[in-house]
Amino acid sequence: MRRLSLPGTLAAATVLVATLVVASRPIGPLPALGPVLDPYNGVWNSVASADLPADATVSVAGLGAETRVEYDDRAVPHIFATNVRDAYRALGYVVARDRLFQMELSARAGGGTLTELAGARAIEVDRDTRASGMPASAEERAARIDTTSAAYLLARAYTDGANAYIAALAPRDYPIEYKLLGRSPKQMAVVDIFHLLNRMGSTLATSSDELTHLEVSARVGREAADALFRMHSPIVEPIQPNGQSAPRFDDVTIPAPGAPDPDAVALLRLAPARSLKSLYAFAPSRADDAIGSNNWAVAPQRTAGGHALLAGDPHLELTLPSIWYEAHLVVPDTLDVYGVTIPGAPGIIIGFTNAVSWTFTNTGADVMDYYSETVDDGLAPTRYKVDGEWRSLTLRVESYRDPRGAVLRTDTLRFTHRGPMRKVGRVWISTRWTVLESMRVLEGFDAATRAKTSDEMLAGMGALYEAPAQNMITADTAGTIAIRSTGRYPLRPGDGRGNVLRDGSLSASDWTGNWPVTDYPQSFRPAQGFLASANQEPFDPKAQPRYFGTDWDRPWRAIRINTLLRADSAVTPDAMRAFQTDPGSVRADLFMPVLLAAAKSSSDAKVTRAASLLSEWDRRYTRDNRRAVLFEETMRRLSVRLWDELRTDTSRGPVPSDMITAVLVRDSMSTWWDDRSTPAVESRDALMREVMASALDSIIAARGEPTDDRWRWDHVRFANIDHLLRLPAFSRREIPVQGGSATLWPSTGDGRHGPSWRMVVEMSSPRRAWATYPGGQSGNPVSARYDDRLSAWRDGRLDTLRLPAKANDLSATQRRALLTLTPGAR
Amino acid sequence: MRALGVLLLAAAMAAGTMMVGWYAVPVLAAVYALVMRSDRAMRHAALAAAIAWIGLLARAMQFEAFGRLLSQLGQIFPMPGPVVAALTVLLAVILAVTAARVVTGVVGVKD
Repeated sequence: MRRLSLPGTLAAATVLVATLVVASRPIGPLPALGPVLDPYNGVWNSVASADLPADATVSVAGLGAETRVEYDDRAVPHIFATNVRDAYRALGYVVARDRLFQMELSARAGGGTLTELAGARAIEVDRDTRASGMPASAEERAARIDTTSAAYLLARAYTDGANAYIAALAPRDYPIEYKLLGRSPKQMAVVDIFHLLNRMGSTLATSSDELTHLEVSARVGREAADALFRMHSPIVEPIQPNGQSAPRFDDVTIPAPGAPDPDAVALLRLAPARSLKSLYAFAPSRADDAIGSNNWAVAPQRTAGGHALLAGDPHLELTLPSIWYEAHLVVPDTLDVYGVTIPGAPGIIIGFTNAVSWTFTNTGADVMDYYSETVDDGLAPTRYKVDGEWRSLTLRVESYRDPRGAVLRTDTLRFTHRGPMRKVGRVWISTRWTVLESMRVLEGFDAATRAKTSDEMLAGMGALYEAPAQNMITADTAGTIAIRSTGRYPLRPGDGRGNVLRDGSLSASDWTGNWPVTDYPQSFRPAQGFLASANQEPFDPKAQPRYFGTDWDRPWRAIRINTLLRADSAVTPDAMRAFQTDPGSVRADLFMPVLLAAAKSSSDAKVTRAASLLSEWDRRYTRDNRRAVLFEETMRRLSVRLWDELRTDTSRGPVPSDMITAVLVRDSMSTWWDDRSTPAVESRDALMREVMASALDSIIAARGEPTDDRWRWDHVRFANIDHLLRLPAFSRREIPVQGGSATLWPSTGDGRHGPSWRMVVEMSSPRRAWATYPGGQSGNPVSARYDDRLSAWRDGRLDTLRLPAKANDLSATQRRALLTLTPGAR
Repeated sequence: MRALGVLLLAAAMAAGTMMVGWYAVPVLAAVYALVMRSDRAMRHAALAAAIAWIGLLARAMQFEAFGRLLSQLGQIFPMPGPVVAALTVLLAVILAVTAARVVTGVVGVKD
């Protein structure tokens, strides 16, 4: 026996130990390399699940009867079940099969448990989420739900289906994100559905109008604040038709900047704006109207085919995988619904049945209020005062855990009868929000999918659906088109306004009830033959002057849609498709003449050149146009200099929308036009000339002369679609788009929001439908189905949807894969 | 015989990786060195580990999505995708050769 050298052995041992450490433990942002690089169980195996197996049979516990899932050539699962619960169970299964990581991430984001997946780095996000009261509310609602109700049973079937998939999943088949994070999927519970719905509420139904009003009042007085952030749009093109055939410009005046409102100044001293912003920290950030949406419907008398048409186009955060997953559920004689679901939500959210089609835009009504509370202890209160009497706060200790279950930290949350209460600066503020009180969303969607007419569908949703409030538009095979801003809207005491901080020490500050459904914005079978919404103010204020909110999107998209629909009395599905990516801009049509007129009286060569370049533009945000870039820079500079009165030393402050600028344009000598940072006193035209010249300088400096290709719009504006974990390898960025600020395909800000699902449905018999979304059905980044729809989406094309009425209706070329689910033991 | 031994070890390493995971490689290399008690054990273990994991990677390469995965892993780590594949094999080789060397260093080799 011969001994090898000791130093060599020690060196080998050192390398072995070091390699084992690197292989078994995450180091910094790098995952543990052993399990990740393992060629059979690690990331390399992600390729094995990239394609759907051509034919698979799986046993699923709880299934009542064999359920057949046929995937078509667009990878859409068509679920053929013998009862509705089996259909939902199968839906849970197939969504988990394609989007498991997304399901868990969405639920964790809404539940404030991201630390359990991502570790301590996610703790501040989780703290904001829990402070919003969303997780507590979800748990409370899940505990209170009637477990014998149809909605619960369907939700349970859905989660059971998802869990059946998870339980049978071998670690080597975990989605790649789990492998990179070194985690395992968790089982899904019904409460996760509420977490997901809350998350949607935080995207769609939060408002910061109280803070905006407060900040602006503290700078230019309450009267100016009321005028700049108005209850009612001064340009009226409502969702509920008002009998007019064109938008109406109401005669409103914008008062000059006034003295700071002393009450607002005092309150901001106690609760600075940056602290107040923490109240909304849990809500995803968004840019202008790129998170708005469009929808419209046309009655048979105005369509070429004589059938009602419906177009849906929700604009949301663009992610990979997409927020939407396309599916079709068929239960003979009971259910036949096609559309998109959100992974984790049991049911089709937007889509169509044999009888009715429907889609949404966000209403944006004010359903979130704040109250300044009087508490017994400024640091750790246990009681709050209402009408002179102390009431106990409900305390809830929140624990944040790491993936191994160790507690990272704890917080104590406090709740008044209104909702969660937080300390902001030196003030304790509680929140009341309809999203936290919404119990029957699932029932609403269940009722919708069973409706036989538009009236029935909207009646069901009107009775059951609460939040987030949505402009639900419908079209049915009988030719009815209808719209209602469905949800729950609070009635407030006094002047009814919800955009001011209320005194929490008075019960008289509380909501007094809800709007009756009959008062909601709505229209059934309108005489004009079409309906449209684009997040604009839903009512004509002359018809309904009550407070409904202030956070209305600019009406430019609504005006454009209505203009297109008014001009076409024989609308085709293809015209509907083309409208969805229409590059025309009402905003440009409105401001360009003002800019060019201002330049006419100038002898400045730079102004003249800028005006000349702008006049070459057809005011369309096509990808190859070379002038929109100059217009946008001009408008950006105009906004910065026009609203200088609202600026502070450290921030730009709230900025009124360009709808207010459009109103102000009528008053060329308003003191608002003066930029107080310059010695000169600017009029409207002087300011416009200055911003045109400086915009031209800026664009030339950044992009060269106007003939340079860098002036092309497709070198300027992009959609940036990030993976859920923002991993560049799984993201698709710099996708050129046809659209800009306030066009029907809106593109603003960082390009991370936009059209998330474009759908056109013809309510003929049989139905015909076309749609696409930016992404693909698979959540597996290595799958060809991960992003196979991106190019069609980018180019404004829609796919023809396969609509098999029964199993085996798809032809051999139309069918990509088959999954048979068979009943299994529990 | 030597070649057969290496191939058998490679097969065991591939099967071990599939059944219990990546750490089967150093464990099997150590066992091999313990049984062989030869200074060739390190070379054999290294070769077998490379063959085993190249074989498993070759299985992944059969899938159409492999090219996409290679490119994405290259961005994640970040380095060219083929280098990630090479590092994968290198990881197995290092684990195998060091485990074998430690064992032979402790138990000695036959003369």
